[in-house]
Amino acid sequence: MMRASLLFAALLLGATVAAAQPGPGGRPWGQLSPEERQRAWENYQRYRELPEQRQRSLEQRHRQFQALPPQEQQRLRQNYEIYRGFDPNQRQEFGQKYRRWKHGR
Amino acid sequence: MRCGRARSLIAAAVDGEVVARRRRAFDRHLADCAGCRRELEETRRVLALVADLPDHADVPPALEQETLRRVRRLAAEERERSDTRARPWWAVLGVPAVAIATTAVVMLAVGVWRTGSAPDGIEAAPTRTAANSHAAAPSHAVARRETPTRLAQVAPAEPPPELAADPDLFVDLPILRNMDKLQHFDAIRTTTLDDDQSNG
Repeated sequence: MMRASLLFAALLLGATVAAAQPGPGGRPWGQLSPEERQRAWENYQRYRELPEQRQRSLEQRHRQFQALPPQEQQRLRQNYEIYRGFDPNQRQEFGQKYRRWKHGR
Repeated sequence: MRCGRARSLIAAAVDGEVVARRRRAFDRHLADCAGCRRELEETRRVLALVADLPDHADVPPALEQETLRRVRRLAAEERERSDTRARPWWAVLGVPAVAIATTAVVMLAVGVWRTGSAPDGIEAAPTRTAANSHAAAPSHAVARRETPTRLAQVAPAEPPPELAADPDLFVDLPILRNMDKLQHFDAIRTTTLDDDQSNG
């Protein structure tokens, strides 16, 4: 009986730990700051509205992103912050440059 | 007593509701005013006809419905006209509409404050907190274009399984959607457009 109780407790603990584990390389929900949780929740709702193919594509990119070296991840984050600071005209110009750059690549 | 005052008392006089002192003045006016006497007789006749009407009459249901419908419509039109003339714009909208609009503005403002816009319509930028990031965000990340497309909802205490399984996927979603642009950010920024070349 004692052994069964210990086994049950171990299984319960294992299940709890497993439930708290995030995907490969990511943080569990409990380690996100309140702001990050809010962003994640809002983006999750938008994600749910995307076509399934687009969702799969984003998941694949997420795996690629996680596989990048930390410095490269940070560089992308910084670039994103710069991009986010663009005013509408700058964004429009950046979009035009992106299309041109992509066309010429 | 003048005619205007006398005529305002006619209906009450027919019903015997005018006090004695005023009634005497009323009667003195009638003795000298043929117009008000005619008005008194006409009112007395009409009120007698009204008094003879039955209290209840059966009418076809269709006629009753149609009459009520037209009365309500006319009343609503008249109310709308008088409201529009007499009340300020916010009062015309009504308290519930103003309250809803105010709440929406406040929630929108909260949404703007809480989130920044992001490329391709994905909001909520993924700058990680210092404890979780490898380096602080650059100080030149300013002037957000903050136009959330919807009202923000509070994150639940217990996230859905898909969100709980990999929260970083959703924290970083704006980056993932623009990964190509962000990976080649500097090269794109230094790309020249046709206009730039012709001008330069």
